[in-house]
Amino acid sequence: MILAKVVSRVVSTAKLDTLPHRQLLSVKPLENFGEQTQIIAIDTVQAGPGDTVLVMQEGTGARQCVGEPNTPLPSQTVIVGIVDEIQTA
Amino acid sequence: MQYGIVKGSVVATQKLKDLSGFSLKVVLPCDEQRNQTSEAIIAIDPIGARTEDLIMWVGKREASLAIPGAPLVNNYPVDAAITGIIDDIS
Repeated sequence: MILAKVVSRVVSTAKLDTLPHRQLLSVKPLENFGEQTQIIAIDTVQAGPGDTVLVMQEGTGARQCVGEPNTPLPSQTVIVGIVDEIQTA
Repeated sequence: MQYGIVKGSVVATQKLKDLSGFSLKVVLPCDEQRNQTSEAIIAIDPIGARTEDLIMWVGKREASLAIPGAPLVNNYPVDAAITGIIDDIS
């Protein structure tokens, strides 16, 4: 998983039926968590713009978080938590 | 999923049987501002995106799951797929 900041909501009407009916958020990985390009993630925790979130980037785990583990999910990126606080030494 | 811009389509009459019936598009990976982020790729397009559309796409194994009706375990030779056309970012 990586940490990322939610930047905006993404609206897509024409999308695959296999994508769940959940909101899509554009997130930007925090510094040191990979390329600084925004990616599109499926939200499972009702996050919103400005939130720091935990983003999973692996297909099988994503599928298990979104719903039926045996239903194909054509995405690797899912938001699985909203971060309250980060402590670093 | 990543942002991309559709730059054109690819016609390949002679292709693997598993790929027949799907349109192939040239996609330029980009950011939310449409700035190119890496080299172009060829993706299957089950949606019907048009040239210059801002789309989202998925790569790696999950791309094969974008084929309508594809089972979880499949052998579709696909490594990038368009998953949706983006209307708005707010």
